Order: sequence, then structure tokens, then C-alpha cells
Amino acid sequence: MLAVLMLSGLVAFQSPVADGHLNLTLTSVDSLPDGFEAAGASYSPTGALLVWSSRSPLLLYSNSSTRMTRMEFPSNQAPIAVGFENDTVIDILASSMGRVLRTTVSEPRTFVEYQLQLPEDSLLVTTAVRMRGAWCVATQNRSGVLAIYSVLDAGGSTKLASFHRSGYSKQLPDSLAQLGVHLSEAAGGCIVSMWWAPFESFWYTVDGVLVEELRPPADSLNGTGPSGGQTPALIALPLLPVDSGFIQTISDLRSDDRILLLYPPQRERIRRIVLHSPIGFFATYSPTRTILGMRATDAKQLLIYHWSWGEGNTNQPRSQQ
Amino acid sequence: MKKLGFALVVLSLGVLTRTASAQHTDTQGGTCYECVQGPGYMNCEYPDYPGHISCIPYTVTCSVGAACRHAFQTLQVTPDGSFRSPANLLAQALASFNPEIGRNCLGLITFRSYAGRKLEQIRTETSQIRI
Repeated sequence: MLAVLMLSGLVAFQSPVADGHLNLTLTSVDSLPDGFEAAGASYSPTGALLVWSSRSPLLLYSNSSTRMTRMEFPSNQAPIAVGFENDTVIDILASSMGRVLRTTVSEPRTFVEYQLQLPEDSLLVTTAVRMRGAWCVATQNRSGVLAIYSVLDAGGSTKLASFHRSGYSKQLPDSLAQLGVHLSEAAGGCIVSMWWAPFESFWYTVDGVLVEELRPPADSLNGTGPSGGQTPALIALPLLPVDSGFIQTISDLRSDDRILLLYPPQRERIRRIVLHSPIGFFATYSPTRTILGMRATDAKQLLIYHWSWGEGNTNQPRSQQ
Repeated sequence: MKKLGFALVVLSLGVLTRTASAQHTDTQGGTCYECVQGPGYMNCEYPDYPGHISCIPYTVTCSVGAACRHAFQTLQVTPDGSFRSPANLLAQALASFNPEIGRNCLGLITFRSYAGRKLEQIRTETSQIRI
């Protein structure tokens, strides 16, 4: 009952939409600087965008009046995650041990530092997402358990979920591959998306209430892979909110094929399309219905799309279910 | 390329020095912690691969098998859905030594070049998407 109430509350933040096809229209393309290995992105409450790198303490920043400027922050490490505290204050999770640098858009080289209060048995943070008033973090402990916590700015933490590698060993493409999750934010809650098949996602409130569990039907994952009989090696990108629906990219690491999964607002029928292009989606901003993607040909490009519902696109996909 | 590859292999597979404490320093300047993958494995952070966590058997010599394991253990995916460096760099380096390794062990790595018609197809396909 509580979960139903929470779900109602969360969905109330989002505008109603027609429940049809999702159309993505490309509105801008920016080439990433040489050597900038994009790792994640975050939108501020008013739509400013930060993209961070997995290889250097460098951020790309843009807002309504500034287009993709570089910001360096004083660290010898690339961040685990970056997020906005508000429109001008940025929190940078700078190490897997929970060190956070708080800086500003105008003075990124000036910062104050604080330590994320992680549970005692946490060995390291593997990924995180900044939410309003809290971090959602994935930690590994010495027993091999991957645990997801919400860590409140006001103090205290709540365990949202935990996963043990042995529970997923049959799904891993190699017996030594690691168990991993993506974290993303939706309506103030934390979404945990598993890297590997069957690609479950779990949507929690910061209080630890499971709002929704999503999982694509197995037959929606067909249709990718290189010629020559190799088995596709599928891995998921984060589950992202699009109004009260969700979109997720499933990538075939052995080819350029990508499955885009759409969980429509009413969840009545999961839609999907197979693209034959090296592209993925990794952030959304609902107020302007903006979705951020990356395309990797010989150069890596940041793509901004506008989403809309219903008809309006006559370009038929090559493969559709 | 081979020089780069060798440097990466050495960097990634450097023999670690284990001490009695939970935290260790390896020969490449990495700060290492006991790893969750099993006895003898460690997580390390390297100053020149900022933020990168790897899981390395501390007794490993630079064998192909260990390199394969390392590549899989450091697997991360980029926002475009491909491998993230340095696992990708390491795999490319290995494949440059021996293409057979690239196909059989690290078969997830592909070396692609985009030009002409293929590039145009990608641009067209990704300009408007309907799901």
C-alpha cells in the first residue's frame, strides 16, 4: 500500500502524455574534446548540463546562454560522479572512498571538501548519482556484495538493495566479468539498473521503498549481433525517465547494434527498436523533454534530442517490434 | 602502438607488493585495497588513470590469461555503449601483439573505422528515432 502511495506521489511530478510512440528528434551535436572520455552527465534544476570524464578532472558545462565550456577542478583524480546541489553549486564525488568536493560553476578551482558518510562495511564506491538532498551510491564490501544506499545530506543512510555476484553468475558473459549497476534519478528516487541480462531495473524512494521493478521480455532482446554466428554480448546503459515512461539502451559490445527499449507511461506494452549505430543515451531532463546521447564513430559526439509522443515521424525504423 | 601497448600491460599488470595492512602500494604507484573477487586480488587506484579501479591478481606475471582476466574485470561501458578505456586500450594493446587474442579472448573488442556511406547511414539513422 505504501509503495502504491509513493508511486502516486512520484508520478504526480510528471506531466501526462499521450501513450504512443516516442519520437526522438536530434537538435544539436557537439564534438567532445580529444581525450575526453565521457562517463556521465547531470542536469541542474533549470537545465544546465554537466558532463564528466572518466580520465581527467575536467567537466563540460553548458546552460541556456553558454555552450559547452570546459571546467577544470583541482583534483588528481577523475570523478566517480558529479551532480548539482543547485543551479550554481556542484558536488563532485572525487574518489571511491567517498571524498566529495563542493565547488561552484563560477569558481570551479575553489572548493570545500566533505566526506560521504558510508556504511562501515563499504569498501569502495563504484558508482553514484546526486539527487536532491541525497546521494545514491553503489558500494562493494569485502564479502563481494554490491549494496545500494541513499546517503542523506542531513545525515543517515538507508540500504535500498544488495546484490551478490553468485546470484548473477549465469548471466555474466564471462565467468570473471564483474557485477555492475547503473544508477539514475527519477522524481527524487533512485533507479538501479543491472548491467547484464535479464536487465532488471529497480526504482526506489530515498527511504528504501521499492516503487517499481522493470524487466524487458526476453524476446525484446533479439535481433542484434555480428555476422558469423557469434553470440551477442549485451550490456545495459542506465534506465532513464521520459515523462512517466522510461527508456534504456541495450548495447551489443560485439557490434554497433543497439536496442532501445521504451517502457511506455502505462507499461501496457514495451516497445523497442534496433539501431545499427554506435549510440547510447545517458541522461534526460524532463522539463524540456531533452535526452542526452553519445555517438561514437571516429570522433565522439554529444547529441541532444527532443522527445515527443505520438505520431510526427514518418521515418520508419529498420527493425521494430 | 606496441610501445604504448607494452606500457599499458606493464602498468596494469605490475606485480604488487603485499603488506600486512589492508592498504597497499604497488610498483606503479597505485594505492591498492583487498579485492572482492577473491584471495590475491586487489583494487587499485592509479594517479595517472584517475579514478580508475582495477582488480589485479597480485601474484600475476604478464601472461595472456591474466591480461584477459584483467580486461574483463575492469570492464566498464561508455555512454555510447562501447568499452571504456583503459580496458579498451589494454585490449587493443594485446591485440596488437597478437590478433588471435583480440578475436578469441577479447572478442568483444572491435576495431572499426567509419567513413563514407556507413557514416552517412549512422547520421541518418540517428537524426530521427521512433520507438
